[in-house]
Amino acid sequence: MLGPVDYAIWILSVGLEVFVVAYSLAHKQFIRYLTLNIYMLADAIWTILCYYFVAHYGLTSMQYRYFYYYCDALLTILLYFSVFGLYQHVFGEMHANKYVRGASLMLLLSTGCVSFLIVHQSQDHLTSRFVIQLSQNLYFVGLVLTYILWGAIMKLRETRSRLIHLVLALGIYFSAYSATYALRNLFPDFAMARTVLPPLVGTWLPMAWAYTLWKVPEEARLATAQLAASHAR
Amino acid sequence: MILPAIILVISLALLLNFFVTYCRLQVAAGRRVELSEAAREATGIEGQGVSGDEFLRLRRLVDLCPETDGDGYKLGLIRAYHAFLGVVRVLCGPVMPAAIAWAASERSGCSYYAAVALDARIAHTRQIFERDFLAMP
Repeated sequence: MLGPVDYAIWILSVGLEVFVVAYSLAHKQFIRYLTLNIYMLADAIWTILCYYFVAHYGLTSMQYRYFYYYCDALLTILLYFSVFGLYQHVFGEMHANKYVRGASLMLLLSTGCVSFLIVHQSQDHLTSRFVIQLSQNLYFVGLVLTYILWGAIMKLRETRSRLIHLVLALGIYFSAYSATYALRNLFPDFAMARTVLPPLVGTWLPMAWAYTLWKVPEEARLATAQLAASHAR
Repeated sequence: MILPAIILVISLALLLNFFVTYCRLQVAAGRRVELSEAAREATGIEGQGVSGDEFLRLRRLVDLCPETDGDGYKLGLIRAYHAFLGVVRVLCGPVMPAAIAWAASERSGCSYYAAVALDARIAHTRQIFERDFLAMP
């Protein structure tokens, strides 16, 4: 049974996602952050459809569960494109975009193949435990990709504040989700990892990205060297 | 069971890394802002040296002023970071003196950030007062 807090979080998530897209459109940044905006739009549609499935079939129905987990897996793969979009921002000045595109295509194909093989082998027992494992692995791959991107940002002494904020927010999102799914895998009866954490973590990314686009100007610069130095201390 | 456990440990470690870095960015941005004389008088802060223990008092002062320019999001984040640093201080205190020094420096940054936020809110409130009340015929 969903309470007012759950509905409030849903509404907040959709509102923030729509804000990100609308803000980008209004400030002519939609194409610049194309993959981020497409993900935000898809996530907003998914959240609205989740409400539809809950309202029509119920929170505990199989229809809702299948829709939730399999669309969530597809959204995670869509989020990989956002990560690669950010890779292109970081490596754009080095004219390495064709390599980034090639790597993203390879990753997409390999993720698709591995996912297909896993689903194909497990089609007799496509249980909720299976989809939790799948989501956990997908989020972990996203986390690894984001961490590599963060390593590149530090190595290249990237100074664009907005880009740094976007990547760090994504890192927090992927790591929190990955940890949540791993917790659910390890402790299936741990209710907090099933009911409280996912909506909170899900709201984090649109909130952080909305704040970054709204408050951190494109031209703002930051000394990552200072950050690296104090990390090493 | 081994794979989820490994993923959990790595994810939590990286979550901590990303979270601390994200918060440090905000604290570092706050440190670059000079406090106004009015804010220094109101808070009793001299220079940039402000104790981490002052954070709660400053937060209470910040809460007295109306929110300015959507700063509630960052203040919430800094509050979480300050609480996290408090845990680090308690847990690592007896065994890692370097961690204590680091946490103290960061907690001081959090307090300074709260003072900067208070300064911005005081200035904003004063603007509203001058615009809406003093300008009234």
